[in-house]
Amino acid sequence: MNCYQMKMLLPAFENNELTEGEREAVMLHLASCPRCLAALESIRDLHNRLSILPSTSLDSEMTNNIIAKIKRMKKTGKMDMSHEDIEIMPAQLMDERDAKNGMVNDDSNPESAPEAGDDLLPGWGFHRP
Amino acid sequence: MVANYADILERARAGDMEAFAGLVQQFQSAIVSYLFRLTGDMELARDLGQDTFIQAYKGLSTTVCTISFRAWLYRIATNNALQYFRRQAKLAFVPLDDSRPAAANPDAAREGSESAAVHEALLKMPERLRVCLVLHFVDGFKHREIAKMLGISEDAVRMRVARGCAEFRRTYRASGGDLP
Repeated sequence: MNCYQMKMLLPAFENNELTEGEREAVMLHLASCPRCLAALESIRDLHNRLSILPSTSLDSEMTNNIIAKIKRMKKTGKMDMSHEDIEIMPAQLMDERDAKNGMVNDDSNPESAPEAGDDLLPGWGFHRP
Repeated sequence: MVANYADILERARAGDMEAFAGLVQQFQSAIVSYLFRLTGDMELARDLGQDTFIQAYKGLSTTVCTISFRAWLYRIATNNALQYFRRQAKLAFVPLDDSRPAAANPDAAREGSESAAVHEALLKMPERLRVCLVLHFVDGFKHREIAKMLGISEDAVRMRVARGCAEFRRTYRASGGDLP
């Protein structure tokens, strides 16, 4: 395992997400590579820094507002998926369009620039029945 | 407790408004906090959060879940934030750096607020790296879960998190932050 491969695995290593084999390989590499060991320390430091970002605690006012808005929308017959909703949750449309355009989300190449439309996530993760 | 939660979800899917209100109550703070971390604007985070739950209500009854409800909500919230960023980029006739959202208090870093300085650096990062860093390090999702949530490969998530770590260090240092 080289240092570049290590760079990809260290955040998952730090979060105990690796398989036993991957974990052993990382530990073997760390034992002989001070640079990657320092990188692991910097990831731990980053994790600590990000975990101090404040959380918001909301009361029931927002819940009431949301439910009231949904009830109003139901009364006025506006509960169908709008064009905007479909953009947010594109289901099959985005996948088909991307396939037609031959768009590939190549994150394996660190130099690859984001493709047009790549910034919206394809599909819901839900299957329509 | 788990059965109870599944029952509430099932009732909400069947259109029970009281059950859906329970789900909103349970997840609203996490979703709005997540959107605030991505946008740096609490009012905007509340608006996007409200849109997220309304869209979830619209979609809930017509879909079959393959990921957890929590992950699904994060996914809708992420798309809402990304769509907002895209619209802002289209509307803005100013340099890209100036179009990025500002922290709630831009002077906070200089005032010694560690949390605000971290947030400010985070907000200067490219959105898709920011999303992965926050989901992984702050909201505690595993790479596997983020991959499913975002519809990308686990390797792509690893790449984004690794690039995000490097980018955060660069941005944080550039804004005067102290790193070991």
